Amino acid sequence: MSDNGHVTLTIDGKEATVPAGINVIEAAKQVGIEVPHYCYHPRLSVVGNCRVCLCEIEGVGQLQIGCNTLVRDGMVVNTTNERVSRMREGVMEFLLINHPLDCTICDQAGECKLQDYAVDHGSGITRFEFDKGKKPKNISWGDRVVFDAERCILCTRCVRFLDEIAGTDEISIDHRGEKSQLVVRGDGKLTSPYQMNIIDLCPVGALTSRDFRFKSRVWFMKFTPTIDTSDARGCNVVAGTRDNRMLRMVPRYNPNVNDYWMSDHGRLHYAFVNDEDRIVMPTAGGKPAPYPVALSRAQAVLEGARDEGILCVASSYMTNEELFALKGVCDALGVEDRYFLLPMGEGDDLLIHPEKAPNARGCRLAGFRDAPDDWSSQEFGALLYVKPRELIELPAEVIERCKKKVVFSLTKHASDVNIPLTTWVEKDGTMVSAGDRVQCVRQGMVYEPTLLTERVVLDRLHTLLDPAFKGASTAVLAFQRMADEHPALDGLTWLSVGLLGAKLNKAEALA
Amino acid sequence: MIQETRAMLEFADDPKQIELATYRKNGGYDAFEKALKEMSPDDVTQEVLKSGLRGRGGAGFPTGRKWQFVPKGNDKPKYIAVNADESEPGTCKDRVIMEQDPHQMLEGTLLAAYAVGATTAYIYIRGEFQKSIRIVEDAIDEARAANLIGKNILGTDFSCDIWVHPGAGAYICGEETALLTSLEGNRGYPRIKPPFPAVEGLWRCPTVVNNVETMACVTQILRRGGDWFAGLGCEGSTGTRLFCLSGHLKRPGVYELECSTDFTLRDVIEQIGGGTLSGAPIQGVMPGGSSFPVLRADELDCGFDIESVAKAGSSLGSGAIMVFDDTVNVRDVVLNISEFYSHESCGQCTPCREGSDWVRRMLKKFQTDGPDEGDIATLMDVTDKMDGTTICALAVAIVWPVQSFLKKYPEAFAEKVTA
Repeated sequence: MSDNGHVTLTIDGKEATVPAGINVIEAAKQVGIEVPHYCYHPRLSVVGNCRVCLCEIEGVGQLQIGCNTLVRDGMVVNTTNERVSRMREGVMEFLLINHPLDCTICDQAGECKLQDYAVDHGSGITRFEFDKGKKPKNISWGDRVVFDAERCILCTRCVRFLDEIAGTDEISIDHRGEKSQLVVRGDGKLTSPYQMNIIDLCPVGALTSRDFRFKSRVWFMKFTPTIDTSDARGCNVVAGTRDNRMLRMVPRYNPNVNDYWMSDHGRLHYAFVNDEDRIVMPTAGGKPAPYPVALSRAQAVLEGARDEGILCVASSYMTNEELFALKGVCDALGVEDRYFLLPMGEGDDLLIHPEKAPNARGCRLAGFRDAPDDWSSQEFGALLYVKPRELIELPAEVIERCKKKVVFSLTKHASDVNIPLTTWVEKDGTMVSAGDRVQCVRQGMVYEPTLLTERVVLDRLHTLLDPAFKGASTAVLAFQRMADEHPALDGLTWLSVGLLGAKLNKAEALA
Repeated sequence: MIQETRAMLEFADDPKQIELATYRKNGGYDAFEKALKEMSPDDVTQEVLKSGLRGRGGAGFPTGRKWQFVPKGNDKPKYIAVNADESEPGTCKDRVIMEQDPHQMLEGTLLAAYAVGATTAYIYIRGEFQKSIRIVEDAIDEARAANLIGKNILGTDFSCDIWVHPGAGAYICGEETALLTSLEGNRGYPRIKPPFPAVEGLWRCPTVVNNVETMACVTQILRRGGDWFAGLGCEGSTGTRLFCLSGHLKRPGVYELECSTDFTLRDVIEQIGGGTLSGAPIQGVMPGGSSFPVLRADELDCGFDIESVAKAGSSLGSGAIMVFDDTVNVRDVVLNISEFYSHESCGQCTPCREGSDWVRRMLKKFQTDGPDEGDIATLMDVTDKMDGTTICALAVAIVWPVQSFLKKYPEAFAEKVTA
């Protein structure tokens, strides 16, 4: 029965009530049936060229492609019967006759739809007795994407992405028939700031990432759902790590934020995580010091500077939990001058945000003020400074006007107390992205087991300053404590923020 | 004796027929003028429906019904695209119309435009047909100067412009959706249907795609009446049709014939084509262009109309009757056909892109070495998997002839060739 814009159909004997206007692939997905597909993608135009989603529609003579067949009330679809299986096996055979089968040296192995569907739908043997067609391999499409024409199945997802989503329309097909080959127009180098999405879209190993190539087999890696921290968009990503080093980021579907995509800038914004020069132990007076020693020194420095005033400068790369921990330290010390640094840059209409840090809104939420363009010439007894990533720094003269310095930084920084920072893939926490959306970051690795996260360090410092204070034992509890206290977070829980994030309650003043 | 019935080709032998003055003197554009001033667009469609005209591009879809699919009361512009990308091997009839009586096609195009409410028509002419392109462009210029094309034609409210668009040498652009993609300036790839061109065609607007000969027939129908047309030929194959006889014949050429169940395909080959040039026995006939199944010499006694030839297991297709005698090796014939289609596969759909070349390579092996055990079964299975699994009919155009040759000449594919 059809009502409220829904239709009921039968797919492989299962009854499915689905929204009218969707195709058979999506309808099948809703009842847990996977119709294999290469060229179809929910956000790209339907071209129907791979032919692997062929289904039988009762009453229709020829097999129909699931991607271009819209559901109808009473439709009876068969996605697995003998006729469909035979034709699908045929399509897999056609796809593989000229495929180089170089899985052993192919980066896509392990997450390759050609491998998956060959196992699920292929015949396992070949009847093709001729030499395979030869096409060029290892073609550079610029400094980010590498193309292998032999592995390409000509699904044209990359062509359509750059045309329809990125808007640069840079790839087309040369020649025809079995000689068809993708080409990049002009000098053969891609220019789109979103070009690396075609690597994710490519269902096979034809497009690989120059950054990630040959670094690791995917089955040895750990994948952690988190967000991109290169700008305020907070694109949802999966961070891939191995042996406590970060190897890649790929976008994670979130219809409210980034859909299926992310910018190349965000994707490649992680080199500092693996930086060999990172400090892994605090220093006090220029000498390595265990955390308790360094924190006692910091306590002494900050308490001694109370009368002359303390300047606190936070970083918009910090999580909300860290910012609230820093706020607690500032409250305990009676710090009035609380600022945060926010790097700005170019934005666009798609995903790239002009704020080049993820959590300016969280800084404002925790009561930090935007750093002034012109710092006053005021002198301070001490500086409590969480140094942002390379894009922005506190002006040297401002630092010099502070007599003593407690600095959190990734690499060594001249100061009385220098405490190592951790990056966002090394901790759990939340940030407030553009659109006032609270989103979680999650720990995917530990750079060095000696490191403590900033929240823990700041809470310990707070306890030194005020023995009555007791920090939360985990980031989740810290978030809950924050949500209980702050009206903008009222009602939110770690679980309700979840994988896709949630809107802040009252956030007008944060943007 | 079978005789030609010349309607479309009535004045084709007059070299001056390509000029507007001569065309008009011979009654040209009278039907169009009458339609504009005395008939409603729907009257024109009704006349075409009454005639029983079926498209002459090869698929034989009823023309009037195609026109009726164009949505009414839709404010999108509507287009006519005339398919003059005549490239099916053996087919050479549209060129005759364009080069010897181009106004007849233009008049039909204007009538179709009037019937469906189109204000622009494109003639998509095969790029190699330089002479056709020149003559049709000259004809359009002359007609435009005489206010037969352009704004407020002959003082009426009806406006329609016609443009020639030369193709760039791809067979696939004769497929109607590829033709539209190519017209839009893109790579000539067929598109998935639905939507059909009549609903969403050129630039996603309603578009009627008709063959050149179909347009010439429309002119004849409006000139002489739908009843006249329906009275010619036989049921299901009304009117006259241009047939292109080629191959090992005494008198190959383009002939305008009525279809009939009273005589046979063999009669046409013998009486019109004059039998084989060498006198050697016929080995096979491809009655509808190279993309339809072959008929063996003993299968030619079917009636000469669409239904009868279909019953015999093939099709009159685009009217290209290709005859080969027993001096040729059918392995060469089928290899040649497969080479053509694998070369022309656009490469979009997996089964056609990969399969057509695989088929070609197998047939090449059959030609030089003969098939190994199991090869014939593999070829049949591979072609089965190309049949009906692609966007357009190009894959079928290789499957049907190849399978028919394998089935009908088993002796030619039976054993290894010994050196």
